[in-house]
Amino acid sequence: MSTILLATDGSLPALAATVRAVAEAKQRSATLVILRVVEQSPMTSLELASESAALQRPEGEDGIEYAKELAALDRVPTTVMVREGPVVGEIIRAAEETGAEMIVLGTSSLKRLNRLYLGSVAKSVVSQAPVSVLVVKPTKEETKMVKARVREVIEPSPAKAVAAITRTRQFRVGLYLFAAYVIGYSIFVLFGSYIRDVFQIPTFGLNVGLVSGILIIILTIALAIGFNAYAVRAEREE
Amino acid sequence: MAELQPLSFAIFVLITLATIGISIYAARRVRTAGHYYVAGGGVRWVVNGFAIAGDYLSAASFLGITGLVAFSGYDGFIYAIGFLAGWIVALFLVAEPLRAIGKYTFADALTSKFKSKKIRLVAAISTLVISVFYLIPQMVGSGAIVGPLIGLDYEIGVVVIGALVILIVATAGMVSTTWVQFIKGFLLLIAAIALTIGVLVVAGMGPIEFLGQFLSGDVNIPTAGGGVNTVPGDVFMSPGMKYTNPLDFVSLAMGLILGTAALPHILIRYFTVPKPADARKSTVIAIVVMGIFYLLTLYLGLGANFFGTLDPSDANLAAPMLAMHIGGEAFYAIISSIAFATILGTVAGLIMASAGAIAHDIYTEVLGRKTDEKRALRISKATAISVGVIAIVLGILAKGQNVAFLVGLAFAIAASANLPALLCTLFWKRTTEWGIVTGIVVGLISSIALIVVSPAMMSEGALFSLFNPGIVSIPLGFAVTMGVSLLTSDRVKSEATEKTAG
Repeated sequence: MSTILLATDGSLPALAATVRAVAEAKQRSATLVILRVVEQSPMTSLELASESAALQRPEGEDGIEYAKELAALDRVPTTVMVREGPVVGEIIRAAEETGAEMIVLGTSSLKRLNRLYLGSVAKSVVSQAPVSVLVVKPTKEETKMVKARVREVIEPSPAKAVAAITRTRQFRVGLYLFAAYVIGYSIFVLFGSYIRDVFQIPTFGLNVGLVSGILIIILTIALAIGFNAYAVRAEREE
Repeated sequence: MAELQPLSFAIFVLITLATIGISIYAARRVRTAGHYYVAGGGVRWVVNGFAIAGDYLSAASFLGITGLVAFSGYDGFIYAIGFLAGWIVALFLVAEPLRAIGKYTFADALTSKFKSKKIRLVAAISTLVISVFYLIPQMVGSGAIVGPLIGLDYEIGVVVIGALVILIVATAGMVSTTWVQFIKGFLLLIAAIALTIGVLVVAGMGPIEFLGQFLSGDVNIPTAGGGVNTVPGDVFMSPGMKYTNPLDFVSLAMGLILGTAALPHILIRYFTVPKPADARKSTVIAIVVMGIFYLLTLYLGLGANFFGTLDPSDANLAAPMLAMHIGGEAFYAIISSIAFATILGTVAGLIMASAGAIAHDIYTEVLGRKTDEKRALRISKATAISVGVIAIVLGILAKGQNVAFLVGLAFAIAASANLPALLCTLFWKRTTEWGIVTGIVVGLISSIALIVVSPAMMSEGALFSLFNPGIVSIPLGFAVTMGVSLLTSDRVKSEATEKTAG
């Protein structure tokens, strides 16, 4: 199976590149390798913040989650690699290791000082890569669209928010319990309406109707407490 | 009646002042619409759980069920069971997913998927209709209780409670409503436990022995004409006293279990907690509190019958009159004041739901008046006041009806109009905008139409023979929602492909 390597740092151009890379991988039915390289020299938080600002990186986003979500939407299989070291070298090495047939990355038109300071990763990768490199330089419209999609992925849509709950094991267990309860309640209602004689049979010093009514109330309480205990434990395991 | 009783009046004033004090204290924190509608989404689940129980255990549960059990025996108990069973739908199907998609109102949750003004409009209308139907019995209960308690006439009682609620809601919105509900839910549970213990101690019997002795003897039920209707105990303690037609029993049971999770003023309580898991936990707290309470209503109602503390002209007074018999005037005053606080809290919650529907859904979203938060807040408060006034008028008109019966109708309307829309939005991928719109409209209209032609409204020659419309209108609501969705789904699909292509 062929692979496509996406190098991302969560900057807007990289996110635009992600969109293109997913489309390419889908077309070639290739696996998408998501690579995030963490710079070797430890940066102070101030440096990191100024870099984020220069690259227009959406806050709290390192690009991996975004790429995974996008790929999942198009059913493109992914592998994630996080490397530490010089950015260009690690991208080339990862491409060789995974046998990628193409490298996709983003670049932006950096202005003045930022260009001097950050240099161009894309330029170096193009000159050293063993395979084709798709350098994505997003237009204004593309940037806008990518921003909108980021918001969508980070703030899940209502359907996804519901699915995140209904997919859990505890919710499915709840459905079975619910079905069982409804069946029990229906039997109770059936006896209370069309087979009323049964409700008059004496039991435990009372009659069947009273005993089953009281039992339903007690069972409801027990079911609620028991299910909650189960769900809390399941949530902790997640 | 209408004679001022100083002790009752003092206790009543104390409880009312405490409630208003809480509202004013809570009002200092309300600055935005989010605070006003859902208390900023920061209510703890334990508090919310009690508040849900407080919201739900309205006059219908405390006064209405007690009265129904006292007069109709087992058929009253079926209300208690059904009211509680409805929470299973909320717990397993609705609570967590709803919290994940909702914001301020029931309509918000439905429109999260389709962003449709049509859905928002019909959802807001159904919220209003259901809330008003639910409001009427609360006002009836308040009028019935204030009269004997502090010596005011029925009509004045309704006006007093209406004015108090308007004051609470208009000042502080959901924050104060939540705390009022919390305290009330707590007080109500204590009151029911105290009354039950009183019944058993005065009767000198154990809990099972007390229930059992009803089966062996005869049961006396006073009638409106001043006479006494005597029935064998085992008939009284079996279904059929009120619901002679078995189908009526089925229809009621269906409306009760499916209506709870569709009541707008209950659903908005889920938006006040931070996380979906908190929504589930508060449901569990509420179920425990309410389950205990409903079990006790059996003893309250039968106790009222046992001691003969029944007023055939108003079944709603069985619980306070029982308190008078057991603990004298002070106990009577306390129980009545708690019942009053109960109504106060539930009405506040209902008016909150209505205010949200008009101010947030219709004014801000449907009419598109994107005004600043301050103005939005003013409009919600103005709405709260108008809904309060409407409730006062309707409450005066509905004097003398049993409150649990009236609430049962509100449940059936909610189950027919709101539940199909809510469940389909959450769980059925093929639901369409038109499916939801027509489902709500048909559910709403059919259930109300069936109530209008039922024996409760037309004493003779009723066109529809059942008291509760649930058995017809609920399946109809589901059928229309799903049927129309299937019919319109092709069109939606082609529109969607056009969008991606363009």
